[in-house]
This record gives sequence, C-alpha cells and structure tokens, in this order.
Amino acid sequence: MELTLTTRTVGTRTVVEVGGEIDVYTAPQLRTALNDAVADGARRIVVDMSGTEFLDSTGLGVLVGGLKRVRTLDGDLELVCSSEKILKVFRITGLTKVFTLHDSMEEALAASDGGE
Amino acid sequence: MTDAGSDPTGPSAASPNGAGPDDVVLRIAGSPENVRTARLVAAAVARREGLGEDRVDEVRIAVGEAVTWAMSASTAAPVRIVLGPGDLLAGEFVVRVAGGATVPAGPEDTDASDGLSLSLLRGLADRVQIDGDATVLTWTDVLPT
Repeated sequence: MELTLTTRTVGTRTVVEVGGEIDVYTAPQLRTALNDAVADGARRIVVDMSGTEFLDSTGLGVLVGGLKRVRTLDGDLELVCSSEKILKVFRITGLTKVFTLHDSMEEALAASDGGE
Repeated sequence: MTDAGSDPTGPSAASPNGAGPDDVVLRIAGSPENVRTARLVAAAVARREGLGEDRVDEVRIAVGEAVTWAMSASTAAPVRIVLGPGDLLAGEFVVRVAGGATVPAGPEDTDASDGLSLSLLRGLADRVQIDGDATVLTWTDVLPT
C-alpha cells in the first residue's frame, strides 16, 4: 500500500496523519478515514500532510468534500502541509483560498479555538 | 487536433501512432492502481530528457491527471502513454495519453470535481489538446539546449 493513515485525538482535535501518495487509487481510503472520524463525532479535524509525498485532484476532491461535510456540522478541517510540491497543487487550483494551511502541527494546534 | 481550452497551433504527433524513435511507450491496464506506474515512468523519462526537477514534478502530476481521465470511462480499457521529445526547435516534451476517455473539450463538459483536474492540467502543462482518442500534453522550451 502506498498510503498510510493514522487517526488520533490531540486535545479537542482529531488529527488524521496521511503518509505516502494520495491519488485516484488511494484517495478513497482517506475519504473513509475522514467519514469515520466525523461519524465518531470529530468536528475539529486536522489533516497532517507532513508525510504526504503526492496529491492529485482526486485527493483534493476528498479534502474539499471533508471540509464541506464537517462545516455543515459547524466544525472545521485544517491542513498541515509545508511541502512546496504539494502546496503548488493547492495554489494552481486556487484552493489556498479555501483551506487553512499550517506549516506544522505545532502551528495547527496553537491556532486559537473558535478563531476564524 | 482540437484544443482543451488552450492555443490552437502546434505541431502534431510524429506519426499516426504518435511514437517516434526516441519515445518511450507504456501500456497499462485501465485500473487506478496503475496510475502510479505511469507517473513514475513519466518522471523518469522527463528526467532522462533533461528536464529540471520542478518540471519533472509538473510532468508527474499532469500525466497522472491525464491517465486518471483516460480511465474515467470505466471501461477498464488499457491506457497507452507515449512520452518523448516533440518539436526539438521549440524544446518540446510531449506526452500522449490514449485510453477510454480524453479530457473534456470544453468547460461545459465539466462539473466541480472535474474542474480541479482540468485546472491542474492547464496549470502544469503548457498546452493541453485532444487528438482523436488521445489527450496530448506539451511542455515547450524545456529540453536542454
């Protein structure tokens, strides 16, 4: 498998760590992990892409879907990503305006609760 | 060729099969698990042709997107990918992806999720065209001089 997924709780947040490559073949696993987290009550989700080596449009679609789903439940979904290669994909598609992107988990966790 | 939203000029493929002597030809079964193989081969060929690492990444992602489109017809038809130099005077690197489906010809054919894929393709390749059953991606001025 080229994708690793770990879900854990850090304080009020549910962190989904994604390692490896997110593409049309592996993206459904990420979708399942996000859906499961929300079904389990997660509302403040952080997707940690520090270990993500590749992201395609299918993966972007899963992230957008996850963001929309959790927002309808008054929650939010933020991303940790500092890889230039992957940030480029967000920039080209204009999704840097849609997602909150943190450079590190520390920054994501330090972000204020209830802040915009 | 018809254009998937970019400029209408440009040299056509070297031969009806689209494979010249310096081209690499890859055929994969039309199953999503094989898209990664296509990406790896595309990156290797781009690197071998002398493209810089940033360009190699662009090729990797763009070819992955085009191959994913080719598989979107759900026919499990094999996908044939031809990669190699194009017009040498223009320093072109060209990738042809032929399979079950091409990228849509116009914006009216797409929905929101398709739009992300097309945005990526158009943002990464210098030219995106349709030639029969193939999606053709061209990068210009990328071959070492």
